[in-house]
Amino acid sequence: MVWLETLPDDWWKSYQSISLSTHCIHELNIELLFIVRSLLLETRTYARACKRICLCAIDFQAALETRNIYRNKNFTNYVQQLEKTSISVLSLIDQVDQLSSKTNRLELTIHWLAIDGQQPIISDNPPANFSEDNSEEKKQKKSNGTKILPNELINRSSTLEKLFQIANTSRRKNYVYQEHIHPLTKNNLTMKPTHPRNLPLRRFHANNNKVPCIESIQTCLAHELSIEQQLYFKLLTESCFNGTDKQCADAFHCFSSDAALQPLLPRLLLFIALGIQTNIHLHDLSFILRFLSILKMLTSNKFISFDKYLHSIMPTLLTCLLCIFDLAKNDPILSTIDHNSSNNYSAVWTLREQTSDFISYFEDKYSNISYFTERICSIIKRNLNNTTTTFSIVYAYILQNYKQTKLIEVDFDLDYNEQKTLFNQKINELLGKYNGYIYDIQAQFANINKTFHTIFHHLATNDNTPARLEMKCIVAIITEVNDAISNHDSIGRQPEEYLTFDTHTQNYYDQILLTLP
Amino acid sequence: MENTNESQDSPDIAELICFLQKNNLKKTEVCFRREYDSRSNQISSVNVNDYFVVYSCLSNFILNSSYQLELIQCLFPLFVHLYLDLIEHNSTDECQRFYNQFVDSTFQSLHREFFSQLKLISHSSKHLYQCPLTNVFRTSRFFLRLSMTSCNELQNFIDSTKSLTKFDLTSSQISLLLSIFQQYIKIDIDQQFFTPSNIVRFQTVEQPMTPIFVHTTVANTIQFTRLYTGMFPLQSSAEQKRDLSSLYPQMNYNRLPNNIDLNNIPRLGPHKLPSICLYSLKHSKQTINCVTLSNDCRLLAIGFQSSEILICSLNPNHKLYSMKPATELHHSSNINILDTKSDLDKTNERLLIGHTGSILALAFEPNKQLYLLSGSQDCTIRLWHLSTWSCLVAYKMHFQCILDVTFASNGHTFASCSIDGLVCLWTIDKISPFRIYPEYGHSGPINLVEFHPNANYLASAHCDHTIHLWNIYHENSLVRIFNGHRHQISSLRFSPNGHFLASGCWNGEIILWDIQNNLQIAHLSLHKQAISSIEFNPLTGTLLLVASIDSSISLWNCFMITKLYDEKLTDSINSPSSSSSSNKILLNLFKTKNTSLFHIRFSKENILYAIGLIDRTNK
Repeated sequence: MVWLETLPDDWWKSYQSISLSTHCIHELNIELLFIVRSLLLETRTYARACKRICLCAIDFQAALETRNIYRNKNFTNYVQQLEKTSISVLSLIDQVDQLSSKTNRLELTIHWLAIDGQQPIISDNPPANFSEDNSEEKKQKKSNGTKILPNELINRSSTLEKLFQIANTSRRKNYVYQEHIHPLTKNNLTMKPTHPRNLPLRRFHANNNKVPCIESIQTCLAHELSIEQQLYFKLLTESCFNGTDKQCADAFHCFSSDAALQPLLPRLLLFIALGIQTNIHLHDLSFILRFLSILKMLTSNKFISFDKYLHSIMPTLLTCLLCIFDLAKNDPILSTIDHNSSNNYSAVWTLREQTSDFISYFEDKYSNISYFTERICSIIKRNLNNTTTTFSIVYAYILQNYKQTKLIEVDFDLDYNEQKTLFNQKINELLGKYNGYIYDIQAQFANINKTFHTIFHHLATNDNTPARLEMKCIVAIITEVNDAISNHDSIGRQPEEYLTFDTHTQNYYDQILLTLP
Repeated sequence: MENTNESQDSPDIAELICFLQKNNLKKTEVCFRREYDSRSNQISSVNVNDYFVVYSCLSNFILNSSYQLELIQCLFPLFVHLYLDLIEHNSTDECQRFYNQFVDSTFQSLHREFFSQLKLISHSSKHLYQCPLTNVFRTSRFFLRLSMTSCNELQNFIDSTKSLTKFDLTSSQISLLLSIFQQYIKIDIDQQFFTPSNIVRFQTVEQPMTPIFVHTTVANTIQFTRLYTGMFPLQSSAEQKRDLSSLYPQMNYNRLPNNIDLNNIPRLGPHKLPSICLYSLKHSKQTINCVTLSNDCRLLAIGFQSSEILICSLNPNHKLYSMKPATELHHSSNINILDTKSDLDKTNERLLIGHTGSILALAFEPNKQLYLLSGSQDCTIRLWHLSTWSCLVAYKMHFQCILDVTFASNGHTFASCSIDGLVCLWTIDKISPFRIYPEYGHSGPINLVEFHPNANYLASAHCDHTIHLWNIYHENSLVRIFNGHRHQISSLRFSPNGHFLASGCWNGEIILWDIQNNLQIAHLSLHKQAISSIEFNPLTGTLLLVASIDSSISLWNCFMITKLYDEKLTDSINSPSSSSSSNKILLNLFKTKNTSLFHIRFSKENILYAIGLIDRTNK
């Protein structure tokens, strides 16, 4: 409660015409302050009787009414208007009723906050946030350890010492327990004699609409996951790749919305990482894209926190972003005959974009992790200096940086010249490759080169609006180049990659342009 | 010269003397002058500087003493009384200076609520007795519970100030110090030797104790006698029986209806934790003031600011039946069976209208759930019948808003408390109370009342942050004062075995009390905001569940706390041999999504039902 120190100065303005002596004004001031302060205290009494977190106008009104001071009429009308709305409980039983009238009614919902002392993971309960709890408890533990046990206290009473010891150990145990084992898993880890007669008691609630029921069954303790969880994992992963369309959609829905996936997360991430790594070697981009879409679904699930498992997924994502796909090896006959070949190249570009999406997403979300951004940045930079960099990697790099204005500052403020020459060199290399074939392509590349220069210039001066325009320009140029390349069937050596922009990418660019700061 | 002085002091007196001289009233003038001189001498005899000297002298002594933890209790009443004295002598600037100089951080943190109220009257002495808190302060004596050793130390100090001149106190300063000690402080010797603490504190650092202040009349008579804290009421005294209980049917202690299979109910304890079922109220257009559940958790009562009460059934199969109207009854009277079930009007909710002010308290009759009590801002308590859905009685005694009502376990006695500072005890069939506490008259508002499970005692939470325990059957009725909270108390609950009392306050601290020995067993501080409701698990009381308006429920191992306390009482602990797995005190903390919890209650199936309100403040 904010304490009223003095009455506001302009309060006296209306009384200045009436000539009062200063002594009189002083007395009045004291008297009024006393009345207002006692009113505030009474207001607090009412608010506290109703267990409100903060004071309401309505409590102040009650305090006034007990002193027989009645509010003015404008306020009355307003309150009466409110009072006219019907009071009724939208009962949880009548489903029909719930549908028919939505507004102006009191609603009563019901869910389990705890089952046998454990909080079930359902959308009604807040998601378990491990990192916050732990850091808090660490702090508390530190302060406990230092403050609680002055030596003289220990000497005087052994009881006290023991009590503090117990309190401390219990805290620590609690903390250890919470860090490593998820409540749901913990539920299964502890052997619980569930009385068979308990079950009907739960079913008593099962017919109410919103009551979830997680039945815990005694399981063998060899594996950290329960049998149900293992089955669930198997079902999910299999239906993503082998299932029918519907199964696949269901699985994707589960990934994006199931609150109980957290214990499965390390395994799922491992599954994705290994899957992507294998498929990079096998050059199967469609599989990689599918894995990435699983990851996409997982990131959209708001009940999952990735922070403990980033180490398993980040290297894979970086590989996707930076590695060279030697696509020439991949079925040259098919690629020449089929139109899919060009799709395959466009898939590389999509892949780069998606991975850069993920990386920036993780960077945004877990920026509190120390050196996370810096390490990613340094890895990308190191790769850029590598001689084997391809155009698409440069492209990916630019993409990556473009989304992260922070990174741009870091890179381009420091070694702008170096970057520029490096990029020039890269572009020239590419130009050299295509030099013998097509003149207009060369011209286009010169254009690209020029535009990149201007972009770099704008970025270096932190001017985003022109950079945005130039980016648009590049998009246009690249599409032109693609057209030009696709027109020339006579190219003997496959260019390493087409510069492709399908509609998806185009949309994506539009999005960027909209969201740029 | 005198004239100039007077005219400086007050122009009124100068004018009066002029008037007397003008009208040649010599004798009256002489008389008046004599009176005025004597009065002005009296005023000037109060040397403001004395206060500063006395206080700094005593605080120096106490802060350097080795018994600081106990003796620091003296500083608080001394500070407040000196401050109030200064205000009484109208030297407001001096008292501001006194406040600024001596109020230190420990005071501020310990008595933050008190000091904010003290500032209420920092400008004028007229308000001293208008403000309830300072009024209580001036009319009470302080109870200091000191050990023999620290008491001797204090005694020695006071003696030395009298005899020696080493503290350089003038006689007026010594008399000031002694008068405050005599007038306002009473020392109670608690034990022989000084021990730093006998409280199990969880997650808190060691804090100095706070003094109790009790009304002067009580302070002279109070005795802490042995209490009967068993579960069942005392039936030994025939007089008591005649007094109240014999008129009424025997109490029904069986919480469970007969048709429920007893084997199906889980026995809760530290190894079998409870399930919690949370009801959340949403989209309330009305301001909800209070919510309560009936003892069998079938009915929910909601009290609104707009003076209506809403009763709704939580069980879909359990409709709220009502008696037929008289006309209907006439038509069907040829069938002589009164069939209450074949009712026309079956709904899941009922609205009770009758109060003229906002509802502040609700209580269901515990045994049959047939009656509901409601306390309102309109100073009346109403009793509602839950099958006719009408008001039976309006009880009128309080002259200010009712803050709490509660039923005793027998179901025919109830208690109410109010802002006017009175606790009234009623039986439902009489329209006037049979007891009114406290006997010495009202002080500040009384926030809560709660009956002991054996219905012999009544606990009430007062505005000076103490809990008073009253013996209902006895004349000398105040039997305990529990003191230790530093914020307004927001929740009270007796343990089912009747030995302990748990109380929560507005800064989220919970204290567990041993009622018999008047000791604090444990301080549990985890919650950030007010404790709204406390519940022990039924029958055994080995678990303590605490709901707070910071939207979380915490689960404590009460068995462990009491076990540690018992060990300490008997001094039987030598080795920390107790198994490490079972000695966690905080068992779990359940957070909700922004649902500030109002009320929790165990149902007969041993499921904890909680009621919360969603997003009230954001609207």
